[in-house]
Amino acid sequence: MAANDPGVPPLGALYPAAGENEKETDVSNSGNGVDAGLGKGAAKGVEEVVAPDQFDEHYETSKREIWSYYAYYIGNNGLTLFSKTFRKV
Amino acid sequence: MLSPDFAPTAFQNLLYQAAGDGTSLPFAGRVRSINSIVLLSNGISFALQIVVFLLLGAFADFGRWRPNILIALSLVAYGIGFGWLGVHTADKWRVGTGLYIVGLIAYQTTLTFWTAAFPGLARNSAELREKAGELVRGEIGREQYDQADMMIRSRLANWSFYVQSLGEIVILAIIVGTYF
Repeated sequence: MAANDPGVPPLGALYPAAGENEKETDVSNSGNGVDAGLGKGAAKGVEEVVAPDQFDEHYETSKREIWSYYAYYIGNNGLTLFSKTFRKV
Repeated sequence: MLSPDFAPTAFQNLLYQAAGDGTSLPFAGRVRSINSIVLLSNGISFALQIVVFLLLGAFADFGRWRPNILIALSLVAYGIGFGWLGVHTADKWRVGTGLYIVGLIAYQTTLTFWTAAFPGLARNSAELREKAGELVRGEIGREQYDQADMMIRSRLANWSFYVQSLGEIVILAIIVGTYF
């Protein structure tokens, strides 16, 4: 996927009434990784936050991925685009 | 290779060879000077890039096609790089012009789609997942979460530039070595 799913709190939580804050907490899509125990059953008056990104373990960045990302850039750069040093190829 | 450092000089060399004693060649309707041909080729290439990006650009950020598009464009770029090996006689200068134009497009598109990947890499990293957990549990604030995200992105960007520079030095050293 191109980007993580954003955590979207219910609309009512955007405008908290005085004294009462109730937001749903469901940080992970498939109940993995991040602590999802605070989710359902939040008591009234307890303020919960939603993380801005939802994480799917399947897409977690691995070291291999990062290094192949770096390696790709080695050949693909424009630094010598304006180089006139090489007269003969 | 994907980098276009050979293209401007290889292309111009070819044109000068084709022109022989003169300094102009027939191109796109009338006889033009070498400089004019190079500039026109750049213009044509960038005009084509506008079209390509209008059609493909959104897929860099949305949807699931970015990896496949990047692979396809990389293969095109590799093909062009090897294609330059076959264009070394002056009579093939028109082929060289085509390679140059398409090569610029391939370079720019691959770079764009590669760059579009790094926010996703940063967001999906293990560190940020832990930070999200801390955010939910109330241990850190939203600001610190954003700060962590920013630091990971910076690390990715800076490291890729650093690794790229090292690799490029090696490549350039090999190239200079071929002249002796």
